[in-house]
Amino acid sequence: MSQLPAPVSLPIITPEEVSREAAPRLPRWLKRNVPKGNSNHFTANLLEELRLETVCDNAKCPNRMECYSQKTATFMILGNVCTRPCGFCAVAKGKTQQVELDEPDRLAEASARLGLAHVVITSVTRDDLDDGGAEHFYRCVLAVRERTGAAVEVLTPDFLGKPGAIERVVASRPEVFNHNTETVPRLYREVRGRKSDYRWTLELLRRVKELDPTIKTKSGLMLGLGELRDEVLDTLADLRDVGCDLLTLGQYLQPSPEHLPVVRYLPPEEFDELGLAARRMGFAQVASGPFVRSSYHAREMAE
Amino acid sequence: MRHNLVVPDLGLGSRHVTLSLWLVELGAEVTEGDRLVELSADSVTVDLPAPASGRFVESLAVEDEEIAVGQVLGVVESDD
Repeated sequence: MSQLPAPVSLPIITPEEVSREAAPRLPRWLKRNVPKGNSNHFTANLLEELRLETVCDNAKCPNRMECYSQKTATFMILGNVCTRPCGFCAVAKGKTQQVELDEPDRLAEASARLGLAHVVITSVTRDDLDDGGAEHFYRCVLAVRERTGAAVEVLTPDFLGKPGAIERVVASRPEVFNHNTETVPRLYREVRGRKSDYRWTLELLRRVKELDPTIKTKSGLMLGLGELRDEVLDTLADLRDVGCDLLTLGQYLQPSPEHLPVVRYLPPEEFDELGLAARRMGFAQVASGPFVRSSYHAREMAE
Repeated sequence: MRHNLVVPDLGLGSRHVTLSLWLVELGAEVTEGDRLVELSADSVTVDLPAPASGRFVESLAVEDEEIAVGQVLGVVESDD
């Protein structure tokens, strides 16, 4: 750590201060430019025509204007209702939908018509399914690859540790296997809910690497939820210990007043510093910045 | 000449945005491109720039008001 630049001061914030500072005014670096033209409508219309969901829309991603205008999106399979009430996430929770067996074909069709060379597939968490949705992931990866020849990145839930689930997704041989850590261990239950377990996140990433070392593993954290700098660095060290190759660090933004408040907006230079620290820890690629999300510029990272 | 400040389509699928904050006072002299008003929708926040140089002469919406894409928010009057 002694080779790193002096860390940006990161104060410990008390619960009272968190409450007082809830939903502070958005700093200028988190504002987007007004989009020019409406080229993003092509992507939005195609998704509607093919009845496909994206995490971009469902999670209210702040980058979706940019991504849609570049004819890219992160497809969200297995419906748009999630079985876990994570405090940070805007995806709807409640009664899940029936798995649509033609979804892999529609996903492949969209990927082909968008001309994608790198397709990112994520899903809602489906703890209600026997395999957590692993078989559907498998079918989607194969359908996209067969139709387009594109590289495929999966961003999966933890499958609740269901036997055989990770193995089934790995059998589809995605180029990148992403599973987000989201936050540091101290905040895990508060942020991700009581069913989520930090140790299982690490175990999932380790297991993927063990099953197929040629698959790049990837993870990401949202910052600004009250974590301390040393906690972040310890978490990154844990990820490196399980062989994680790619890392994303981005600013948490509160999707609505009902979600967890933002404790702090990290300035861009602090993201730069953490990104540098992560590279020195051995991550092959690191994307660190206020607007970075787990699949933001995913193709460039994977290459 | 009057230049309308129009709510842009932010490409989010929503036909409405919220006026978060006026960034200049009514009657102020502005330069084309100056940030006049902050708009937000979902997790996206943008500053809308002045459409021309001149005086900011009319504001047609208030802070926290939900406004439709295409609606005129204000007017900048230039000398030409």
